[in-house]
This record gives sequence, C-alpha cells and structure tokens, in this order.
Amino acid sequence: MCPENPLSRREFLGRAAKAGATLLTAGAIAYATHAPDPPEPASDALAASGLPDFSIPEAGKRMCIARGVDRTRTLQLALQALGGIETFIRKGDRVLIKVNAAFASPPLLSATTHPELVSELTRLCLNAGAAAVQVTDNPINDPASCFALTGIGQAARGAGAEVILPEERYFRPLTLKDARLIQNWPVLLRPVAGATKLIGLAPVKDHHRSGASMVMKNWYGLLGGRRNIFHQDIQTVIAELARMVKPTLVVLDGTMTMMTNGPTGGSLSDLKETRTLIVATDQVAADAFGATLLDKTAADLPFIAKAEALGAGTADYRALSPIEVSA
Amino acid sequence: MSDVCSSTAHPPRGPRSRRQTAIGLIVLAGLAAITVAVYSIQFRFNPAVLNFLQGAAVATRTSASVEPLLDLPEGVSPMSPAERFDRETLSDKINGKAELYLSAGFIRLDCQRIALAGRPDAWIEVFVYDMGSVPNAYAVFSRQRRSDGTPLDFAEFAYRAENALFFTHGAFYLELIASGRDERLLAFMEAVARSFMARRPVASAAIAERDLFPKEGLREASISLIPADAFGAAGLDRVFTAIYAADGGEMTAFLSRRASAQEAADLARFYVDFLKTYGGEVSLADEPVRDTAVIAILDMYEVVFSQGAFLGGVHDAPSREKALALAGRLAEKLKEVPRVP
Repeated sequence: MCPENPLSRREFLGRAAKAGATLLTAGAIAYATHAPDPPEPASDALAASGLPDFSIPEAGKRMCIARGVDRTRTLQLALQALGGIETFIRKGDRVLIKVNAAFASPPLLSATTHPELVSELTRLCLNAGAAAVQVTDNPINDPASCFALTGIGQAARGAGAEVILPEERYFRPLTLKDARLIQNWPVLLRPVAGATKLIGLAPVKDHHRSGASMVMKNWYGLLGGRRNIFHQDIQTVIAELARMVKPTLVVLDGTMTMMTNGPTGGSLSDLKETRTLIVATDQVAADAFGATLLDKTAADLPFIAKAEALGAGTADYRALSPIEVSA
Repeated sequence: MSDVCSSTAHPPRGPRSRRQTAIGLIVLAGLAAITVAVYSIQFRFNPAVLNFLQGAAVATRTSASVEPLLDLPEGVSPMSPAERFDRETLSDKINGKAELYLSAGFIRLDCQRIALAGRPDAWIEVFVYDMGSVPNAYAVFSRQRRSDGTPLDFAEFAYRAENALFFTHGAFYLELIASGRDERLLAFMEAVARSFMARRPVASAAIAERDLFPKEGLREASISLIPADAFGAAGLDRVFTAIYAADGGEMTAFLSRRASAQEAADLARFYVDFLKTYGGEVSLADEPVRDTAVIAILDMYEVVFSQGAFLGGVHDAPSREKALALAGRLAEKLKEVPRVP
C-alpha cells in the first residue's frame, strides 16, 4: 500500500494547530459580537409609533343617532346631520373601511357588518371624491369564505371598493407605547399604512367574553397571531385597541342587535330589532350609547371606562349632544 | 514498487503549491463574501420571523376531518371541506364564544357547510361539538337555549328556531344553522340531524338532576347546567339552575351534586363567603336544613345550604320568605336521593 498523504508528523501537527487556532479565533469573535436578545422589529415608522391618527380635529367630537330599519337611509341621514360625508372625506382620500367579517355567516344573522352598509358607505366615499376605498378585516378562519358568505366582499366590490384579504406579508409587529398587552404584536398594518382616512363599521352584538362587541372591539380584527390569548384580559385589550386606533369616523349598526349568544349568534331568536344606527367621531361615546341597545349601561362594560381612562374618548355620550334623526 | 509510489504520492511541489494557493484564495474570497452578506442582511430582519415566533399573523387552514362528517341525502352537496378544531383552535372558528365550550369540557368541533343542489345561496352549516360527556353536552345546549324555540321530538334535548336546529346526542352538541328561513332548508336540516344520529348510535343517559327541581312554578325549559364560575363565583362549578315564577318576576333555584357531604358543605361555605365579600349580609335559618344561610344582597335574597352530597339554594329571590319557601321545596326533593357519606 502506498501512503495517500505523505504528510510528516511535524507537518500534520503544524496544520492541525493552525486549524485549531482558526476555529478558536472565529469562535471567540462570534462569542464577543453576538447579541443575546432577538433583533428589534423592522425599523418601520408605523411599527415604532403605532397607527397614524386618522381623526379630523376640526370635525370635533360629534355623534348622530339615526332611527329606522333601512340601513342605507339611516346612514345617509346620519352623515347629512353631521355635515355630510364631505366633512370627513376629501377629494383624493384613500379610505380604509374596517368591517367585522369575523364569521362566514349570512347577513341574516347580524353577526357581521351588513353588506348594505358596506355598499352605501363605499358609494358615499367615492362620491365625495375618494381616490380609492378599501375594505378589510382579519377573520382568523378562512377570510375568503368570511368575505364571500357575509356578502361583504360582493357588496364592496360592487360599489367600487377593493377588498383586502389578510396575508402574512401585510402584518408588522407593533408596540403600543405604555401598553400592557399590545407589545411587539403583529398588526394588519399594510392597508392602514396606505390609507388617509379610516372608518370603523361594526354591528352591535352581545359577546360572551367581553359583554359586547361594537366599534372598539371591531379593531380586534386588526390583530394577527394567536390573538385569542387576549381573551384572558379582553377588557384591557379592547381599551388598548381603542387607544391604538384613532379613526376618522365610526359607524355602529344597531338596526338589528344580537342580544344573546354572541358573538356568533346563530338563531334569529338572538336578534332584536332596535332600529338604530350611530355615526360618531368618538368611538367610546358610540359604544357607550350602543350598550343601551343591549339593555346595558356603559358601566356594565368595563372596556368603555378603560378606554375613556386611556384617552380614547368619552363614555358620556350625552356630552356630545347627539343629533337624533329618523328615517 | 517504490518508483510507482514516488511518481504518484510525491508530485513536484512547486507548481501544485501555486495552484493550491490560488484555489485557497478563491475559497477564502468566497467565504469573505458570504461573511459580508450575512453581516449586512442581519440588519434587515424579516418581521415574518417574529410573527412566526408569536404565532402566524394569519392562521393556516384548519385540518380536515379524518372521516366524512355527514351522510348527505339526495339533493345536497358539500359547499366546503369538513374542518376540525380542537381546544387550541376553537376560537379561530367561534371567537369569543369559545370559552363557553372550553369551560364545559370541549374536546373538538367538526363542521361543514352543505348547500342545496343548484341553490348556492341556500346552505346550512353543521357544527358537531364533541363535549366528552352527556352532562357537558347538556351544559352548552342549555346555556344557549332560545326561549322561543319549538321543541323537537327526535332527541331528548332538541328545538328548532326560525333558521336553525339545536340538539344534543350523547356527548355531542349539534347546531345546524341555515342561510335563511327557507322551509326546504329546515326540512333538510332535520333529515341531516336524523342521519347523524343514525350513523352514531349512543347509549341514552339521563340528566338525573333535572328531576330534582320541584315542579310547581318551574319553567321547564329553563333548567340549565353552568359548568364553571356559576353566579360569578370562580370555583362554583357544575351547578344546575332552574327559573321559577315569583310575583310577576323570577327567581332561580340551584343545586350541585358533589363527591361527598363534606365537599358540599365546603362549597356552601365558599359561596356564602363569596357573597359576603360583595356586601352580602348573612343570617342563619333552621329551615330547610340546620344552618341554612340567608344572604341579603343588592336588594335580593340568596339562600345557601348543603344536604347530603348536594349544594342547594335559591338565587336572586325578591324576598326572604319566597327564597326560603322555594329552598324548602328543593330540600324536600333532594331528600328523595339516596344519601352518600
């Protein structure tokens, strides 16, 4: 047999020593420079500072309570009473409508935003000169089915809006300053980042965990990840969401109110015709009034007081001298 | 032999050495390029990784059921694949109502949408909750029962609403929810329900506690089982309640069968203490059993006692007299149950 490597013992030891020294040096450099903590999220301005403020200070804190069963009409009347949609939407605005499309259930059950409102609100925004209207939500289970079976997708597209279904790449981790729960949490930021106006559009519902689901709870659909862990402290997370989101306008649909077995409902027996639609610039006030449609008071729903304490609005909706109109 | 070896094992060192050096330099340059790339890319951290660490922002599709959920009758077809949810993922489907099921022992949910042939707008969604036991299934059934539902006779606990059908079958709780009030859909839902029951035969198991509530004044459809945190008291679990008419209003009788008389007595003390912490004023009565606690709280009255292995009482009564009268009748019924140590 011929030796395959003619290295001498001296050469072998020398090379082994050099290789060992190289490994040690590389290891030492890696150890000295490694960061034990995970890197900070992307240096996205939104992620660092929360969502943009979409409110219009000059519009003031205003609220209208419209009575009637025709959602299209009550929405029109309420907006007219507040000075018209032009008070809130200007030419060239890119409007994002955050609906509640949480479940793949038919409009009949009132578990989701009613498609008539999506359609009419989109139409009004576009008529006011909005450059684009987008409609979004992050229903955890099968978003495409949720938007299809609720009728929201068809209503939005039919009126000229674009439906944004959630995708992984649309989320960015967000930390709400001084928040206890919303810390480095994935939020559906991309549609929000492209908007100049934000409107929340939600139904009034009983909610097994929080007591009620209205406009503030509706922002829950901007969260990604395993957000169900927030159910352990749902009152706080709703209040933090209200602080995180400063909408241009909120529309709370109490035309049919889900009085029991919310938030999914399932039976028409769970519903009560309450014939009321609220449009407001103060989301806390809107929810405080919405509580009355559930035969509750604002004091029965701790997230309202918490949101007020965080500066998201006022629970005393009467202080806004709400305008009342009837269809 | 040595000539051969020397010609193959000892090549001239000069030229080979230069080639090795060149190759070595190329490899080192490649490694340096990789190092630079890694160094620069690490500052552009992909947030998707953080999302992954915290759970995906958008949920992945749920797993399909292992077996077909239903035997579909003629004239209908699946509208969506069968889906399965477990304790971890239930809230992905029913959001905030998940806690109601989880606290009652939920194991898994299978669901599927099916549509009438040629009528994509006419569909039902079938929810089959495996609750693990007959009482657990009864708990979620009774807690959500619609007061205006029409009772159905094909299952012991079943009713129909305008657009839906709800019933228990052994350890299963089922909801069949239609997209509208269509009569054909409603008839079809009942056929699906019967088919499900035929496919999964279960031994009948009665809810014995239902018969322990005195009949006079009882609103039969109101008997329900609270699996946990009854009346807001964390730790007060497995409590049956029943509503009784009282002077134009209502009051609630309650009972809970425990493992032993001692456990029942301890639970009674626990609940009385709970009421005291919320301002309840406690007095004792000798009826219906010795040391029965009567608690005045928020202009209402509660009665709490233990009898054998049962915790019993009355909740939200309009007066002390009515509370004690109903408690007395409840105690009489509980005496009919053979005592345990």
